[in-house]
Parts: sequence; structure tokens; C-alpha cells
Amino acid sequence: MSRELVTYRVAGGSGAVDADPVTTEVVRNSLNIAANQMKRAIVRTAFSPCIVEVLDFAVAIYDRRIRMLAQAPSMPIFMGTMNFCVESAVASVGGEETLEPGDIIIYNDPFGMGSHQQDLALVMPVFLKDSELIGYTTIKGHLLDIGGKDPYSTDTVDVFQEGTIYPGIKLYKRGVLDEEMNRMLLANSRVPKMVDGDICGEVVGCRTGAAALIEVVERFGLETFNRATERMFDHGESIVRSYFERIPDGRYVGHGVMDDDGVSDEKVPFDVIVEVEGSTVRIDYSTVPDTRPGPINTPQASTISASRCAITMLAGGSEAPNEGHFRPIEVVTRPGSMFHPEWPAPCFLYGWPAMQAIEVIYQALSQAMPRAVPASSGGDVCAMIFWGNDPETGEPWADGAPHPIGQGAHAGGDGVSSMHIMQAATRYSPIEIWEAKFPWLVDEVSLAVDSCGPGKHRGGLGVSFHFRMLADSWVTTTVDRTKTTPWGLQGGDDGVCNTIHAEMPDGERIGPFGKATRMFLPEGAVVELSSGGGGGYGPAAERDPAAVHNDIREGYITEAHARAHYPHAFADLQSTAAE
Amino acid sequence: MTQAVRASEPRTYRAAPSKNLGEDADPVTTEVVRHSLQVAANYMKRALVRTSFSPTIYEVLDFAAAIYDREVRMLAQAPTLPLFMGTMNFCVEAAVDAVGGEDALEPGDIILYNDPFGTGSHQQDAALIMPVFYRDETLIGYTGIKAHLQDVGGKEPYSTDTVDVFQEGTIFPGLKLYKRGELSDEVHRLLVANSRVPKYVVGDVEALVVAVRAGAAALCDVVDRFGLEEFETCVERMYDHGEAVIRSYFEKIPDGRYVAHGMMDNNGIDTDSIPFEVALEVEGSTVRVDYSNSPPMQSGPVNCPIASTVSATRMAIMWIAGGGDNVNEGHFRPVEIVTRPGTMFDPVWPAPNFLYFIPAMQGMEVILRAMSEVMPEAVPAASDCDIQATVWWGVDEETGEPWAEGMPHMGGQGAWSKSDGQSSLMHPMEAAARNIPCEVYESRDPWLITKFELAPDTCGPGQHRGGLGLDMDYTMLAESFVTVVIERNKSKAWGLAGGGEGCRTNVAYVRRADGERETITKATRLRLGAGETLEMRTAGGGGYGPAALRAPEAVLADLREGFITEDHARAFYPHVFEASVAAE
Repeated sequence: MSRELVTYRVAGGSGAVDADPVTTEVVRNSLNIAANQMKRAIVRTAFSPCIVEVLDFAVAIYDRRIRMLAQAPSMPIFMGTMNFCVESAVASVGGEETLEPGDIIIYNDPFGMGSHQQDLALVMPVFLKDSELIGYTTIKGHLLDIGGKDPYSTDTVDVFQEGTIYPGIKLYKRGVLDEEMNRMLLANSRVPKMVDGDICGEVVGCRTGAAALIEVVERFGLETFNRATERMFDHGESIVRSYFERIPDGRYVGHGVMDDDGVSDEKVPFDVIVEVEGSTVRIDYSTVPDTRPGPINTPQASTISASRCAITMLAGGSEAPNEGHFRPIEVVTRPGSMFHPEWPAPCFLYGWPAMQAIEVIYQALSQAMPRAVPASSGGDVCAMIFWGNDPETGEPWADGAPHPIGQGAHAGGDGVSSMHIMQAATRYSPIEIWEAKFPWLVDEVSLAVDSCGPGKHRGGLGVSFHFRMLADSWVTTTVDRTKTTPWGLQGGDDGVCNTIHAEMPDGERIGPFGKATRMFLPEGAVVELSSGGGGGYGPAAERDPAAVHNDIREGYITEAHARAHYPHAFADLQSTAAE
Repeated sequence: MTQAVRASEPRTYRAAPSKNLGEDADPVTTEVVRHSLQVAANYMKRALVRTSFSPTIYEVLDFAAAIYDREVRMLAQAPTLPLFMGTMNFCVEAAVDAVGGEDALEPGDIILYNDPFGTGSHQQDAALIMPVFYRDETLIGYTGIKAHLQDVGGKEPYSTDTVDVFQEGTIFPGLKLYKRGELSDEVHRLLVANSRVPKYVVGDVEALVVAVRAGAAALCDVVDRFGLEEFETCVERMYDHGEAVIRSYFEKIPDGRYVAHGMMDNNGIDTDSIPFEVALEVEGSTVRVDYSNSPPMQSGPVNCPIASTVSATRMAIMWIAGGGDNVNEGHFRPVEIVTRPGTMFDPVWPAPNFLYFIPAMQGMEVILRAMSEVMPEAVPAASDCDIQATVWWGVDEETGEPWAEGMPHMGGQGAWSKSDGQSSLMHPMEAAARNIPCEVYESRDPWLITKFELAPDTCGPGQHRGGLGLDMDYTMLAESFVTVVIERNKSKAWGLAGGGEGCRTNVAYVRRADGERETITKATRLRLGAGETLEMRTAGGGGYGPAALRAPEAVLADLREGFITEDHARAFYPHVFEASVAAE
């Protein structure tokens, strides 16, 4: 069945705005500070390292019309979805009229908010003087378990296996905790203490943001504030438009490929088309495959978010984006496809196609502007989620983190080692925190030697992590791009793929593999992740021999790698030797 | 992997003793009150059957309805699913506790509760509990229903291989679905959002609401008619009478400890058989059923939460000692249940429990087996010991609408001292349940029933033979998924007093499109394509007394009716043929 395509775009500006530019800048920066206060409040009060250390959450502030005022630098792939969270949450409880001061809505329906259920959104309407609705503060954070088949899954076949769905429920009503809904949340988690602690932290975050927004509005007065934000949006819009105006109009196609859909072994190729028309950029996902039987379906909100991530990182002028930055972006999807699945499709690994799409967009744009975008990174966040029971107390625990990879090289230099794009603001937990809180030792964290794609500028290096379990545990690994190497650009070579192995106490070595759900790791087992390196940029033959030798000296590459890919760097030595 | 859980000290569950407040009650009025309450409970059942959405409720009757007094003592229950019935007080207690106790209740409230460690069942078996207020003022009791909803999320609509309770469905830990008579839109949306078949769940839950309200109105009518004071005295007397019925039975049984063994096929995850033991202790007029020696909590879903362990016990005891009467709180007083937290019959959070009914069902038969040591003529041989549950689901190819359907199956019952076992009957644990008529089935679901017949020769031989199992074939007309739960595939139904074992164990087969035939016991989310057939084959019951003592005319009648073949008859009842040869 061919379906009508859907084009998503945000509302345009209302034309010339009479606002003082200096006041506008002060308002804009005040709003960014408000968003950062939210972030800080959560980091200081949440319970699990997944929030506190990894920063696996996003915070944002919206105006009454659900236009983004500000966001704190947090999880990028969440950030572009936050307006959908607010819209769906408000619609589900019955619209604006049903909102009261002090309400906080929880919402995690993937088809509304774009993410899997673990990434629960909290949405708080903000009232000026307890009477006038002026906007919303919202947080989406990863909860370690929310029921369903597993704390984390790679092989779900419908959305119900993926966790409990909270379809827009007031957790707080007029500032008072709804005991029933709190019990519901805790009853449906394998790690209720962690969920309780994290949600309390997020409530603090929403309230902090609301108080900060009220302060900003009170400082300037609602009318001045509104004019300033209109101008702020228009300015954001013009930044992105001015970027695309300089790019030749055209249709640029990028190709991505997922390892598999989680339930069968076949690769899943997909195309993303980038159309530039004047100052508007249209990201077209209409030719992607139909909704997959496994969980690699990205709901529309995250498809849009991935597009926003790619475009604002490229064209946003390094500024904190707001609603205006999104105006030049149009996103075309086909309902019933992998980038616009419908109920009850499995979506657990929604983030994986989304993160690859960001790089595929860059690959497409490289045809128009090869100097503006990098080669491919290792292409994945290599997430691993561990869980088990404390052998002493029986208390359940869980922990999860993404792991960094090598970044693609670009016209300006080598790719950065040990980072990520889609989760740019996230980190992995410090080893000391990990080892203190969870039953494992980290035997190794090292840059993955030789993982970089060769080139005039080489790719960044991936990272090797070895976890040695000190107690029986389970792990779900979600590692994609194990079959397809990270592409190089402009004659640069490919980087090395992600791999993961497990070594059991009896010596059995499992792997390499990518996706595994609820793998049992007895005490003594070791999980070895080696994350991929970035692709190179420009022909390897053009790399400065001094840079090659420096890489050898630093231990980034071995001599064998250097000789294989950069023979020219040894030509002088050979001629010297010959002398 | 088995999680390390230390089993704790045994604990004993017993109902509260008599308050001796019923002595002044008029016995005739008491009987009228008792029957009025019974009628009230039947109203609930009838209301639910008339209004519910899925055949699992209105045809199979996969639910229980009961009425409790303010102290959560059972006033009456409708003849419904027996294994649910003995758990209903736990459902009321847990639901009321969850919302904050009696003080938090208001007229018109209806609580939704399905935490397995409280209800005793898997999450699909959700309980609705309604406090009943007399004249909107005085709390006088509760009406409660537990019914099987077709899907409440989790790993599958039905599972045989879960490893924790979270895989088994969404948990509603005591939420007011109605507050002072007003639907909570939020709770309702939660239910809808977490079901694969939201229309079914909405339809069935609305019917449950109708039913608890019908029961509440009926209870108020009864109290109105007699006045609260007289009503209360009468029910005290009614309980004491119920208690006396059971006590008088056990008084006649010699004191002692009688032990019997059961054997489950596996835990759903591993293939090892699971032997277990239940001890029955009679001490005066009290009967103590002791599960403390049962295996540790299993890593798969064959753990039976204490409420269902108590219910299985109550079922067994009421069956033999209840005098054929409707039971009430008093009947439960002489029954004590000993369990050890952390074991298969008293698992602790977050153990998987999806197949809780398997140990419960077999536990019940093992209790009867223990009884047979002392009163062999009072109890039957083993039945098929299973309900061969199937739950199906899919998406309508025309409309795209999701559908689901579930049904237990019938097997042969055990023979006993007075007669042959019944053929193709629902297990006693589901005694009030029925199969879905083929006509209803075929008109609703994408299959044809291509076989539905008694299975000859499956009966255990004996002076009284066991009942016959069933052959039932479903031929699919469209793609669907099914979870099949077959237990007692490895063990035949035991005979009693010299009777033979049942001649077939439970099994199922899938006949694939290419003609291949796969053997199925426990299977989760099995895909069946159009044209493929699921063949259900249920076991025959055990025999009672030596086969050599069976009346030749009974053997010949069985032959004539096609219940047994001549080969079977000659193998087990040679005396019948010797006699006829001799006569010539």
C-alpha cells in the first residue's frame, strides 16, 4: 500500500518584530541559563549514574505555543523531540484548559515522543502568578527500567514488549504527588529505587526551570518578553537560512546501511535525500524501507530530531538553537516506513537509524560541500545495559551507558578520538563511579590502536573497554555498524567497525557480535568492546609523513598499519637507509 | 539462571476464627440470608456474562465473582473459576491496602488491582474491587471479580518462558478506576495504552464494572431487607455453620500426616522435571496442608504465589469436605496452609509466575492423592492434570484490527470408587469453565475446527476406567500466533487402588503447510500460517480398582460406544474375552 507522504515543518514567523536587539540578547541568554539551571538541578539530585554521569537526558523550555525558547546542551537526539513530548502530553490530558499550576505530566508513548518507553518525558506547564499559562518546561531522561520484556532489548516485535506506556498522566496535580501514579511507576520497574530517585530529580529539574522562566518573564514583563522571543526566533531562522542560501540548490542523496533489524540477519540499506531550495532544506525519508519487524523503527518525532541535529550542528553557527533554527527545515516521511512507524510497531532501537541518518545527511551534503562535513564516525553509540541482583542484599541494580567512538576526519583536520555526535553531550561514567557502584572491574580503557581510517586527515580512534564481572549479571548490547565500515570522504579510506566479544569463565569466547539481549554473564566473565574508528578524509598518500610518525610515536597506529597505508612516509627513510 | 534467593522460615496461613456471635440468629432467617447472598453473587456473574466483550469471559467463564463482608470474610461466591475463587479475599485485602486502607474508600470507588504477589494470578487476571456502602454511609463489604483480560502488555499476550514478573504484563498496583462513581480517565487510558487489544480490554473491563455494581446493589438489597444488625448476626451463624460442615468431615478422619508427590514436566525454561511434595496433616477437625518442603522458586514461570496456593488448597478441601454446599468464609476456617517464602508455592518478588496455575492445579490433585492414603474411596485417580491453555492473536487481514482469543481444553477425569471418570471435562480447577462453542469460534476467529472428538483408548483401565481425553484440530484460515501451554506431557495420570494409568499424556502438534508435523508442549508466540493446523491431544484419566474387576458388560458397552478399541479391551480386560470364550 503506498501511503500519502507527510511533510513536517514548524510554523513560520509573524514578520517584522519591534524588539530591542540588546534586550533580545539578554532574554535569550537568560533563557539559556534557565535551561542550564534545569540541567544542573537534575545532575545534582538524580539517583543513577545514567543520569548523573552519562547525562542521558534532555531539558528544554517552551513558550505557550510550544515553540522552543531554550535548551541546555544535553542529549542531542532527545532535544529535537521535546516539542512533540509537550504537544502529546498536553493533548492527552485534555488540552491547555485542563492544565493547572503545579501539574507535572508523565508521558512516554513512543509514537508521540519519538523514543522508547524508558525515555520518559516530564512536562510541566508554567503559570505566571499562578494564573496565566506562559509555557512549559520539559525533561526526557532515560529510566533504567520501566518493565516490559527486558531492561533493554534488541529483539522486540511490538511496542508492548518494550515497557510500560504512560499515555499522559498527571504525576503531580496542582503540586501534589498522585500516589496512585507513583505506585504505578514503581510497581512496573525492576529497579524501583533507581526510578523513584531519578524521577524525583527530574521533578526538581522541571520546577527549577519553571521558576527560572517565571523570573525571566517577570524581569522583562510579558509583553517585552514576547516581543524579544519573537525576534530571537527570527534571528535563529536567519542564521540557518543564510547558511543554506549559499549552497547550490539541488537534490543530494546519502546511503546508509544498518547491520540488521534485530530479529533477522539481513542488512537494511536506506537512503536519505537532502534537497536544498533557496534557504530551505528538505530532508526526505520517503524512500526508506517499510516498517521493520524488529525494533529499528524510528518514530517521526525522532526522525525530525535527527534531521534537526544534523542541520543545526552544521548550520547553527555553534549557537544554542531555538525554535527559529528549525523553521527552514522540512522533513518528509512515509507513514508505515522505518522512519515513520505506526502503532504497534517495535521501536526500541529507534535511536540507531536516527543516529546513522545524521551521518547519512552529511554524506549527502558532502556532494555539495565536501569541505563542510566530516567522513563517517564509528557510526554507533555502542550502548550496553547491565543488570542483576546484589549477591549480598538481593537488591536489584541496573546501569547503562553509551561508549564513544572515533569521529570522521574532515577538511580541517583529523577526526577526534573517543567521542560521539548524536550523544555529543553525554559521557560514560567515570571508572571509579562504575567500580564503586556496580559489580565489575574495568580492566581496560584504551584507544583502539589502528582503528582510524587512513587519509590525508585520518579518522579518530575508537576505544577498547574490558568489563570483568564480579557477580552474576545480565547484559544487553546494542552495537550496530559491525558489518559496514565507516566511510571515508574525498579519497580517504574507511575506518574499522565496532566489535564486541565476551569471554566466559570456562574460556569460551563468544563473538564478534553486535546485538544481544539478556546475555547471562557469570561472575568472572569479561565483555570486550572495541568501538569503531572514523573514516579518513583525502588520499592517505597526501598525509604529512611527520603526522604519520607522530601517530606511531603516540601509539595511535602501529608501524605495520603505517607501512600498509602510508608507504610514502617511509620512502625517505628507505632512501636514507639506501644511502 | 536461578537467582540466589534464600528460602525463609515456614509461615502458616489461616482464616480468622469464629467470633461466636451467631448463636442468637434465627436458623431460618440465616438460611434465607445465605441464599439471598448466593443469588446476589449469581447476579454478578450473570451481569458479567451478559455484558462482556470477549468469549473468554462470556463463553469460557474465565472469571470469579464473590462478595465479602467488611472484615473481608467471604459471604458468597458464584459458581465460577474455582482456582480464582479462593484468592478473592487476597485481592480485596491487597487492593484496599494499596489505596491506603478502609479510610481511603468512598462510595462508588472501584479499584483495579493485578499484582500477582497480591492476587495470586498472572497480571492478565485483573481484579476489580468495589467497596459497598450501605445508604452511601456505612461500609458493609466488598464485591470483587477477577477475570482474564486478553492482553495487558508485557512480553506476549500469554507466555511460557518468562524469567521475571515484569515480562508478564503491566502491573496495576491498586488504582481507583472509579472515584466516587466517576471514571478516572487517566487509569482508563493506562489500561488502554498497555493492551495489544484495547477494544477487548475496554469492553471487558466495562462489563466487570457493571458486575461489581450489580453485586453491590444486590448486597445492599439483602441488608435492607433484614436490617444491618440482623444481617450481621445471621452471617456469623452462616460462617459457623460452614465451619462445622468441614470440621465434621475431618473429625472422622484419623489424625496423621499423609504425604504425596507430584511431578511437573519442567519450569518453562529448562527441561528438567520438577518433583514436589505436599503433606496433609489432620489434627482433630483441623486440616493442615504443608507445602514447606516444595522446591525452591523456579527460574521459569511455574511459581505459584501464596494466594493461589491457598486457593488450590481450599479447592481440594472444599471439593471433598464441603458437602456439595456453596462455601463461605466459615468453610475455610479449619484449613491451614504452610508455605515457605522463596519456594515454588510461595515465590517472592520479582519471580515469574505466569504459569502459576500449573503447580496450583497439580498441587490440588496431589492433596487428593495424599487423602487417598487414608480414604481411598473418597477421592478420584488423577485427571489429565492440565487445562491445555491456548491463547491466540493476530491482526485481521481486512481491517488491520488486532484480535486475541483464549481457551482452556478438556481432558479425561480420574475414576473413583463409585464410577468411571468423566470424559473430556474441564479440569476441576476450572470446573465452572466451558469450551467456546465451535460456531462462536469459527464465526469470530480465523480458523475452522476440523476435528473435535473423544480420543478412544486414552482412559486408564480399572474396575472403573478413567475418562477419555480429547482430540481437537484448529486449521488456520489466516496467519496467527499462538501460545500453547501443555503440562503433564511426561507423566501419565496415576491410577488409584490398583487402577491403571491413563493411556495417553497431553501433547499438541503443528501440521505445517509442507506436511511436516512438529511436537509441541510449551510454546510461546508460535506462528501458524494459513492452512496449517494445531492438533490438541489431551490425556485420559487414571483408573480406579483392578481392571480385572471391571464388569464385562461395561467393557463391551465401551467397545460399542467406540470409547475403546478391541485391542485395548483385549490388552487390559482379557477376562472379558475369556469369559465369552468359556461361555461358548
